[in-house]
Amino acid sequence: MHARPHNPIADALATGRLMICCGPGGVGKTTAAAALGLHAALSGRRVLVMTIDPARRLADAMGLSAARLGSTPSPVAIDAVAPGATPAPGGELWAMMLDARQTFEALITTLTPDSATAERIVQNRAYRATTHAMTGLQHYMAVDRLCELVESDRYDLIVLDTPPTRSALNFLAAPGLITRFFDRGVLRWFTPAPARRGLLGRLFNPGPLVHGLLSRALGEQFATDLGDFLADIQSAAEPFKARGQKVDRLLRAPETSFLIITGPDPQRVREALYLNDRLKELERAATAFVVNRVSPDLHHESLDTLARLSPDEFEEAIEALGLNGDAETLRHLLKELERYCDELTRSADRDRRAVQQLIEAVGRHLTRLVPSLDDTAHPTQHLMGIARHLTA
Amino acid sequence: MINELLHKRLIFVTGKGGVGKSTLVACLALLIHQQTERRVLACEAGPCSALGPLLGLGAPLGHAPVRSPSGLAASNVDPDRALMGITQRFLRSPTIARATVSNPFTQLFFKTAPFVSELATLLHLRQLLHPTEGDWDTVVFDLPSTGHATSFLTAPSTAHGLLRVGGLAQLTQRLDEALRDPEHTSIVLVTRPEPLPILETVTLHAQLTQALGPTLHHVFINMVHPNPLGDAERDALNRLTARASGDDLPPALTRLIEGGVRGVSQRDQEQRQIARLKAALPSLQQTALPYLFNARSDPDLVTHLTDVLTNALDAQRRAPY
Repeated sequence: MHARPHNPIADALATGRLMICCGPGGVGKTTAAAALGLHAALSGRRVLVMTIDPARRLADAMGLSAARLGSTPSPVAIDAVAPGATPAPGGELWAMMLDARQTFEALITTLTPDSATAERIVQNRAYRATTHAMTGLQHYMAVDRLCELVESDRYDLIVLDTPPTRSALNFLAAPGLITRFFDRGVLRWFTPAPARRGLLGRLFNPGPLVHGLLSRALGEQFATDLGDFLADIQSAAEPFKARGQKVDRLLRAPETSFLIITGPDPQRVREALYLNDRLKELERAATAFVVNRVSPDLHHESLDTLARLSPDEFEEAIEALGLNGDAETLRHLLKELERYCDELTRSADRDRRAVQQLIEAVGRHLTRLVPSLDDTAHPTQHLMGIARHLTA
Repeated sequence: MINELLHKRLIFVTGKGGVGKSTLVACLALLIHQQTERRVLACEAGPCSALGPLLGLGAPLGHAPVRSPSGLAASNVDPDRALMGITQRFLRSPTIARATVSNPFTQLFFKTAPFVSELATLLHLRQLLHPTEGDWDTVVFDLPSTGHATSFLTAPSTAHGLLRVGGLAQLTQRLDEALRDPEHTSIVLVTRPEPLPILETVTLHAQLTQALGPTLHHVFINMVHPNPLGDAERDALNRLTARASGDDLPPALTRLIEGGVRGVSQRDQEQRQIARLKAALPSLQQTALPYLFNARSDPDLVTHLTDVLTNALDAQRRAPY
């Protein structure tokens, strides 16, 4: 048996526990995540594909209705998304969408000492009015739920599709941030808790001071709501911190891989390189780079070889087809077609230079090009096509 | 009409990720800069600057505005510094403000806290436009992509609901009113002529209209492929493909025909998506921006697309009705 060339994506799909897909918007990231999940499921693994984004694309790719894709995993029929494939025994495919608010409230109920505290937190005005905008917490929730699912051992592999924002990697920093946030020292600054006994205790309890400043800046009402919220949530500080550390370990584990999915144009390549730098800052390394929707000509052959058609050749071809009567229009058509192909060549050249720049920066062995496949084909054909290119 | 956009104070640009929001921010700001006497600032917020490279600026864009080679001013708002500015105005003491905002604990809190940086960014934009204290007449701002746009723009009303009384509450209320005032503010959507971006645009339009009222003025459909062939050539291509099977033709001609067929089919698909958007949102002004094969670089792309906008504007001026 001859050695197959090493493919980091295929390896991660075969043995990894968690695959995190990030990248700029509009490159087909969710569809790629679905294709990767399908591939692993076909090879006999139990796979969950999880998205944080509004889930229409994942639902479409999986042949589910958007309404069926909720915050608990839904089973996906493998033979429906991969007709004609022969799945290895044991494979399962599941899909879900993360609902940060629901997850947070469930977690509060689990971690707070009593139900009255949990109820107070969830009903708190400061929390309620702002929960949709609490991006820090949402990131944390995403990884916490992820951690729970990985630990449950219900799935062999989880593929996570992250939102296409430039701050998508913030969630990697979230566990550390939350751990520090729940440090007693920090929360004490914001809670107007009764002063400790004695002069020293009062002096070193900054809560009332900060509360006073916040009241002046933000208004008494808000400072009080916020203080109440933080005081209540502090009762869950220790379990929260422990979980934060666990999540952080998961994100650093060797079974966790990071895929940067991007497009072939200069702007998207630049964003991919930016994400790569961010990963390095967070002391992680990208497992592989996927350049999706590369124009087929760019993928297979050089467009420089596109030969010009000589006028004689063209006249002969027209004559052979018996279209002489049409010669004038056809000559004009030829000119238009040549102009159009010139334009295609130019934009393909620009993309080729951008992709080359990516390859030089990160190494060819880490880069995989997926040609632009026909989107109009049946979505599932499309999924199989992408999976083949990613893992071949 | 594009000319309505020339006289707004605050223009927000949003859309699904990857449709060219930042490109349009640069183009609209450049258009206003070229067409009016107004002092225009192109603005973004976030760690990965897209505007810098688009405007041909070598160094990363910072909080303080800089001029691009085309003369357009641009800045990347740093929410921390914006917050510092706002806090200073309220605590009235730079020292206390600095101690409060730059304190590591406060920093940590604001990073996890709700809507603080959105609100600080919006208040900062308002300050930039302040009649006496601000330096700018118009700000064109690159909003985050679809999912986050609505919560960003409703941060003032959220904050106002929480604060209710006090100086900051009043300020958030005035900010919220300005965002809902169609004379002052415009929200511009950007999309691409593909099924999913079009669908998301319709959804986003509904969300934003519900949240902010009638400040939505325009949708730009970006990267629309030009028609590769006129009607007569299209007919000729059909006759040619009907007669010829691959083997009879010189390979170069086969390649040309393949390219043409692909271009025609892509054009038709895109036009169907554009018609779908028009049908779903008949009252929203639509402008198609061409896919440019010839742009050598990002600044080149911005220059060309701004020319396209200028031509569209001239056409509107010649035929105002």
